[in-house]
Amino acid sequence: MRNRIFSAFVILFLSILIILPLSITFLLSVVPVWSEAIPNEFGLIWWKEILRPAYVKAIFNTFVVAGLSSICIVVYGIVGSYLFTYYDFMGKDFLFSMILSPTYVSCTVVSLGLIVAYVPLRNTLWMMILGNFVVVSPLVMKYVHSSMIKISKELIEASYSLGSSKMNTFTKIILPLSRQGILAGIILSIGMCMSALSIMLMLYNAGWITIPIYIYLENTTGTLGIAGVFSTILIVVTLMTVYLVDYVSEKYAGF
Amino acid sequence: MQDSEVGIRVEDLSKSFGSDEIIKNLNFQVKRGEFMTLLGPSGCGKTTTLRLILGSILPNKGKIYFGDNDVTDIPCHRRNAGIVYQNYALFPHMTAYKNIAFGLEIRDDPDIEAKIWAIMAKMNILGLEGRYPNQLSGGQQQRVALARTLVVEPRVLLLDEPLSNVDAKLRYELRSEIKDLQKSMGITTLYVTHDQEEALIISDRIAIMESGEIVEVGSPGDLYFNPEKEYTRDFLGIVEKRLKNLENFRKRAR
Amino acid sequence: MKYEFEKYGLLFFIGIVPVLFFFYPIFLMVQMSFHYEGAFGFSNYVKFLSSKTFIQGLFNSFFISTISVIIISLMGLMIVMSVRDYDNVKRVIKLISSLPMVFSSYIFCIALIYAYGRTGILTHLFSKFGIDFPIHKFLYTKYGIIFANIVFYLPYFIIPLFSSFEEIDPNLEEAAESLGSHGFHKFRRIIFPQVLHGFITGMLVSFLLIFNQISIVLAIGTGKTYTLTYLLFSQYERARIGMANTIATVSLISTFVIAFMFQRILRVIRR
Repeated sequence: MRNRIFSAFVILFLSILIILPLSITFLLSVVPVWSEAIPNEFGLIWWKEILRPAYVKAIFNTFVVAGLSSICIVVYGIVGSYLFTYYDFMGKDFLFSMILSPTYVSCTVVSLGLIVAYVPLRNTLWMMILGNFVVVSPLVMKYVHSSMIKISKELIEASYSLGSSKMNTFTKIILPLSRQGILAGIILSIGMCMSALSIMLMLYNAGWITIPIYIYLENTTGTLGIAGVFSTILIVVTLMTVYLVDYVSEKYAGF
Repeated sequence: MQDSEVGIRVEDLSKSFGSDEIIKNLNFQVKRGEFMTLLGPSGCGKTTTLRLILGSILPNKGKIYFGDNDVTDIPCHRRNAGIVYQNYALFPHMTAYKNIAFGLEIRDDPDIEAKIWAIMAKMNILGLEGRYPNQLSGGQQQRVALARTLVVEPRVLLLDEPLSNVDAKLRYELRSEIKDLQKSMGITTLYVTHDQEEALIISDRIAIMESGEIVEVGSPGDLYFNPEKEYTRDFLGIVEKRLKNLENFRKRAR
Repeated sequence: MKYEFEKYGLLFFIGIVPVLFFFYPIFLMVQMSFHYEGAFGFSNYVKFLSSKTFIQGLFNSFFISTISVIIISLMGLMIVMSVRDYDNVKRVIKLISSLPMVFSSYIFCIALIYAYGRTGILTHLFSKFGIDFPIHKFLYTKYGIIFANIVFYLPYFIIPLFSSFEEIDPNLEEAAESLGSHGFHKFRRIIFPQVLHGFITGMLVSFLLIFNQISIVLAIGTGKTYTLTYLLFSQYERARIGMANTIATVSLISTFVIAFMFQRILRVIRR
């Protein structure tokens, strides 16, 4: 009984701590002027502001950057996982830790490194994609690999014994059976590339401003309404991605 | 049956998980010092019965007695029922010695060392005290598990298919060891298995279980040669088939 | 023959990426930190060590991370211990916990300010009842950063810890109870040793995440609280690349030391 009260308290505590601030970001977007502690005037003025070309471009930029980055990240993750699951070679563990090393390091350090090492790429779209790639691909590879390695080796053997080529086995057996990890990787990649500020902070350029950068800039200049709208958009899109991917994986769950 | 002869008594025991009624109005007794087996197919409720007697789950209805004592409301850690599992359940972060010492340390026993060496000698595992469970074979692990349970002199001994994870040759050895141990210590024992041969060979009495109910109780000989219920006849009848197959093999192979 | 070619082809493609885009840049950065105006020297580091701001930043990074991790691990352990047997509650907690992971910490902190800050909603609500809800008093200092870290990173700790607990063989607890072990004794001698590995790993991951992050400091720090990452960013903004490289190297070394220490601890535990 004591435990049940404590559990209820824990849920309440976590809800206030976590859900409340998130709902406030939505509030930010529907309050024209937040002058008092508790707003009493609501309006959609900020949502109309969003339709300005500069902001629309930001939304477009975000999708493009996240999309391109995610494609590279997920392809790399799948190919890398395939290598680590089905091949043996000297230094395998060492290589795996090498690939995971960016997770131990700050995004700012990674960004600075890229800036210093690839001067001609500074202030281009490719630098932004590269930054996303270096930071996010280790995480995605971990997810995909842990899914792929659970596929029973006997299934692969059976496939070959029936005459299937390596490529055919890969596309018809391995990919579908590791889709849980792959889908998790896609969600993680899109979510992080779209919303992570720390990666873009030092790598963005004026022609490719994305939503997180705008939120940061608007916050420092005080126009929180826009920040609120963008945040809400991000949260909604991320949740929708999670839901969509979940739905798709459920639909094909039983084949 | 006089009360002082009762080892374990189960009265009108019922247990449901959600809407599933696993155990329905169970009634049976194990005599003091007796070796009784709960025999039945997977999912018939024998492990649940064991855990109810152990005290790790509570019944929805009914009572459990150890001898004259009603233990229904006594929590698991004070009931002093010993249990041995199919997967040994040795504490992986402790050596064999520490595993066996665990229960004695809780009871602040002054003779810990002497008792541990004695039980290890009895179970034939001297020399393994410094090893961790993952450094022991299946048979060795099961012996350590038995030692750990028996060294604290429990009131009743519960065994949940302890030999299913042990290979065939070792199974026969351990089976007779367990039986001898039980006889020499005189401890009331409830053994759970789905293996008909094992039950027939090792038990003083067998309780056949099916879908949460006791179908029939009797000595191995009675149940095998004169079963009262159709179910018992079918369930044990498979042994007869196996014996016939073996006999045919012997005839052909000669 | 073809198989070998395939293997080494893949190996090259996969292996070259971290080398080109991670190790080479870092190597360059570290190398450049030892150069000042074209010559090899430690002057950047001298500048670093003699600057009160930078030393304060280094200290802050460690201080904030350590305190945050200690609180997160204790809170996380308590929460997981108390709800692990209740499946419904566990599901709800896991769901709520997955929210911060999908959102940017920067937005989250802005929201925290609007909820708990000086003119925040909750602060205002509580003051109507005459209670001075204390969070706003320290929200903008390093303790506020610690608070935000705890709220944001607690889920990262809880979710793997749940998995560690789920991996415990249930028979072990039952066996312990049957031998007389209960409550705190059972926790200390049987349960905790089983999850110790996951617990320590969780602490390491949380420590590194908190040590390396910048968004929270940016959002809450109001420029008065420095951490290493923040200083790196501000040096970069002022085009002082030399100093930025130095700070990056210091940050890297710190990360190595922490990770190394934790790995040693883990090796001692994993008998």
